[in-house]
Amino acid sequence: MRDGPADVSAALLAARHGDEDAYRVLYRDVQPRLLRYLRVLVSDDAEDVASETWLQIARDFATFSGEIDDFRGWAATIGRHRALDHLRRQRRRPPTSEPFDELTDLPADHDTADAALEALSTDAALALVATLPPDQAEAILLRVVIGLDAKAAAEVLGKRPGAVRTAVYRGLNRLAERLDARDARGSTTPGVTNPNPPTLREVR
Amino acid sequence: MSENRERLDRLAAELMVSGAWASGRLGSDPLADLLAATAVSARDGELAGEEAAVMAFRAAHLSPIPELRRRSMLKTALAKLATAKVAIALLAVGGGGVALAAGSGNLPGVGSPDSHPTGRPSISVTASENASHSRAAAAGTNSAEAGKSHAPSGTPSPNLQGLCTAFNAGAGDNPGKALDNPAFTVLITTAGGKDKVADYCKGVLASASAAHPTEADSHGSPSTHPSGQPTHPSGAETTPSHPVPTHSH
Repeated sequence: MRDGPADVSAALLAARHGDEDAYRVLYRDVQPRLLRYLRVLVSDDAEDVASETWLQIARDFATFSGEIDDFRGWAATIGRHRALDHLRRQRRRPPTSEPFDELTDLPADHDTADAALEALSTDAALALVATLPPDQAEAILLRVVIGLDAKAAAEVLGKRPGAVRTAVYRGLNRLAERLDARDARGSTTPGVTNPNPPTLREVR
Repeated sequence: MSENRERLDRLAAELMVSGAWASGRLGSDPLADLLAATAVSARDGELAGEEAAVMAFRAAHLSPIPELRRRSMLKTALAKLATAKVAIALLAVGGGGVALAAGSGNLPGVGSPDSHPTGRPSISVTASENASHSRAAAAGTNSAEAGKSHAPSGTPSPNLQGLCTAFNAGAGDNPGKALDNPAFTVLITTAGGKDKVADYCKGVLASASAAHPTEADSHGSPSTHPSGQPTHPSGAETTPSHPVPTHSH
């Protein structure tokens, strides 16, 4: 993911001419970002949704034009649509198993925060971001993980750049509060302002 | 990052999300660390779908070629259709003439089977033209004799024989006028003048029939009749479409 921008830009150009190795470079750059973003949207199904996303990217690759930042935004847009489709499909399933699964899948906020802060692993950090209201979590990940600017992130989300900036600002402050609360309470009390934020699955 | 409720103002938040990816600096701030942790390099398992993605890319990238193939197949099909149309047209227009010409042996250039499949209309038309010349000219006399005299010929100038046959057939009516037809120019030149055509042709036709008597006989009766009769209508159709046949008036 830390390929120089020039490398990935060159890879994008070469992949447009059918270079498979260049396409691998693109994949290695974009897939981890995409997967982490999708994990916030569809949690454990992120790999499946990412696979669907790459199929569509491959299929429509000839129609894409733009720079590497545009490509990342394009991939994120496709991934987001596939994730929303996935959630819609899930909602059409028989309701016997799903709601309970969802409830049991949802970690308690303070547990998540504790786990994230102890190790600060990528998964834990993402899990903590995922506890934010979905618009804030998405805005932060599009900016930080996908690497888009406010305008490009706004395009992915179908919002105005100002709304994205606001969501980022609020989400970061909420994360900072949780970090401070963790420091203050010494990991015994969940000093969280919003112990049960709506999850993506509840909202969408 | 103060202890206030609002730890970040909007500008600080903007800077953090736009800089976290690039800097990746750790330890400076818990929130920055958290963001940096979301954006670390690819980890094991995250790239598990690479081969599938590349295969999809390959398949999508190769698909334009089948499209091209499809397009070229369409072109080929259209070309075939066009060829078929030409062939049908040739059969309808020239086929009869060719059959008659084959019967009369008057096939300049069409005799070799290789040249025909290319379907060059000019050749076939020429053949049918010549054929209809001789056919029209030979009308009422003996078309079988025309076929007799030329068909198997290894003789050097079948055109002249055909022209002579045509001349003989038309000469009874009006030999002088028949020779006005440009088609006979070669014959006149070869014979050495209009007035020498009749004698010249007598010799040509006599030597031709003398050279291949048996073949001419066997050829004449069974094959020329069947082929000669069906060509009548097509010969009649062909002639008007020709710019050349000025000889018929």
